[in-house]
Amino acid sequence: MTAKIGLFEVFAKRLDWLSQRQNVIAQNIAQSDTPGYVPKDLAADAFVRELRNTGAALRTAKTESRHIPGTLENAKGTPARETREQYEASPAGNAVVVEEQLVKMAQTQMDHATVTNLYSKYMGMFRMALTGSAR
Amino acid sequence: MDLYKSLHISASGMKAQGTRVRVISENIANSSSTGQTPGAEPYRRKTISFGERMDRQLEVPLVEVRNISTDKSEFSRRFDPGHPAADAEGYVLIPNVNTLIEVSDMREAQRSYEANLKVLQTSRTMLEQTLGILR
Repeated sequence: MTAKIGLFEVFAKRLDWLSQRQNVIAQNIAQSDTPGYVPKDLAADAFVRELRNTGAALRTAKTESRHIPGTLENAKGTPARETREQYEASPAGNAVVVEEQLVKMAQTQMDHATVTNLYSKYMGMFRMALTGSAR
Repeated sequence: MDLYKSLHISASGMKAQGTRVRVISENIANSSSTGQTPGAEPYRRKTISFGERMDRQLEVPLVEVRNISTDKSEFSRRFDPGHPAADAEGYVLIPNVNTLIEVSDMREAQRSYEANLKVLQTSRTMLEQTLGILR
């Protein structure tokens, strides 16, 4: 049962990752006229790696009430890196391609919608199991 | 919450593009403003450049207008001996504003503004979907 409830954690992590990505894309588009700006993105496999590490990561134990709780490595979020493969750069050194960013944004939005819908469906299943009716 | 930050980033991008349009409109409006006294300089074209600024409170990089400077290029001259600003040879200095350049610059500003607006709308939709889970 705990493994099944763990799916909520996957949803939460995914939503968190997607909103972080949306943030990075918003930055790229906002800076699309800043000289010398190189677009950033979250590494595609970062989410999978993060998820895999969640169980493995060791949190420091609190053996005393006055201990400060240990933080996991990824508490500040996935780091955004500058994109290496650049399509083109303007004479001022700006490498943001707005179309590319909009495609990424559409993808992020679709994924976000998928996860939120899955979440609702999953909650519906719990509700059905508990009350015996779908509504 | 990252999505709230995205809203701020897009808003700063829109603000920067708005300032750019203001500068362009100043240039176009003054494209035939000559001097008043003989040999006086006419209106000098203004240029705008953007930069990245870290917002310490929100912990996100926003766009800001770095500086509004003047175009150092040469003025063109027109033969008009009757003009109050005409020099000894009868030439009047004309502002170094090229309306064609200004209009294409304005189009670019408009497109960038639209892209930022699109990001803002998408972020909003994603936020609404997340809140929709509560329903």
